[in-house]
Amino acid sequence: MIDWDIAWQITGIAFGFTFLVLILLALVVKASSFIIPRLPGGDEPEEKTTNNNAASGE
Amino acid sequence: MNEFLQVGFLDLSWTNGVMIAVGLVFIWLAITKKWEPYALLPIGTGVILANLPGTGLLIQPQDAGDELGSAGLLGIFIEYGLLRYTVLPKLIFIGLGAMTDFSPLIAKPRLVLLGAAAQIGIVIAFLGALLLGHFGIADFGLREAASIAIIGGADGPTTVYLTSRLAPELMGVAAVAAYSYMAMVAIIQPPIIRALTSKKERQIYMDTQIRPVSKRERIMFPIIATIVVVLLVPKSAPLVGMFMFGNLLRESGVVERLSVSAQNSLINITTIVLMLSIGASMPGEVVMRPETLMVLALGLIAFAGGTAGGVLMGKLMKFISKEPFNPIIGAAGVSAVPMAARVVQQVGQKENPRNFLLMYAMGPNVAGVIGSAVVAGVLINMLG
Repeated sequence: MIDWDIAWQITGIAFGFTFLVLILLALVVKASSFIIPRLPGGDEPEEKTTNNNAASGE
Repeated sequence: MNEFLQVGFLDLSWTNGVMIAVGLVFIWLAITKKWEPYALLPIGTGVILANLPGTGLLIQPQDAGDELGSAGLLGIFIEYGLLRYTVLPKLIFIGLGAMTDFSPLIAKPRLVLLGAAAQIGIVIAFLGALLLGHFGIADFGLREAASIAIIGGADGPTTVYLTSRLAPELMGVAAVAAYSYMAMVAIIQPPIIRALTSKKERQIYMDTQIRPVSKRERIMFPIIATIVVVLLVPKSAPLVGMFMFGNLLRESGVVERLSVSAQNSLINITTIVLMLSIGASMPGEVVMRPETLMVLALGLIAFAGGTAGGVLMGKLMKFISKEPFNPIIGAAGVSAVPMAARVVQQVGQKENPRNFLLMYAMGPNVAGVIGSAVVAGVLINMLG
């Protein structure tokens, strides 16, 4: 017999928590993108930009 | 006479025969249709070998007794690679990390939302499997439901990892479903994308330039992602940790040989062993049950649900975004790297030849890999 209370808890936690983890990761990445270029030592972006046109042959 | 010769024909059951035919179909699909050949060819071979009677190939070391050399090669692969230590999917993740470019995700971190939304397919299949169990249609409990649901993550190694921990008896079928649906993204996803978006939405043009990402950002990403994700979901460490380690090998730029090895030798050798083991996990008596069809159907529902979830989140982001935002890139939120991103590119360009959505789609695509690994970690934490 399936315990639906537990099932709903698992469903909510698995999806909701994953969503939160990924949002937090996005925020940390955003923050680090702001901080990293300002750190000493210089960090020039690659000369070659990420150009979508290069993907046109896919 | 069979006592001396041990002729296999006499022990061949009808279920073995059917599975041998299935193995042949897999090999045919791999060779002639080029459907996931790196997966289906060794899986097909494993299926055939597992269903030829009397070989002893599937005898696992724990069942081999004291007689030296009596454990079968495939049994050794299955016991140590999949069931007891689950080494193989973790090794695969090192190679996948070394092959992954996170630049699109670093340049546009909000794309991670699409990868998160696509995990809704896992929820749908989880509840669907439990409903079948509830009504007594199938013998699915929470652990089996979770193993079936993870197919919706469209990530083969994650499916193998979770299933080996929660419902090893479903291993072969769940893994084959995951890899098969990954091979069929070009068939499954476009109708769902078209059903949920208008022609006008699919034609939306997005700027072809994504900001350049510095080397330091690319080096920091796997380190930051490992610490953030593993601190929150420790049980995801075997997958996320190895994935990010592989990526650090690639981005650090100081261990070129290791990076090349991870991208080539390591992942190739591991793929051979993993896929053979998956195939060998499908002897006829295990697979030829009504539950197998239900697993395949629920896996398809999970995959379709994930695609729909990503596209619907894309529509929400289009509504909120100040810049033009094509919602179809949400379909790439189901992992299936890079096939799902390519499908988005093809659908988008078909509607508007100026559109080059591939780099945008790679963002949710790699976020989907992280997302499904996190879901797997959460599920193992609760059910393992």
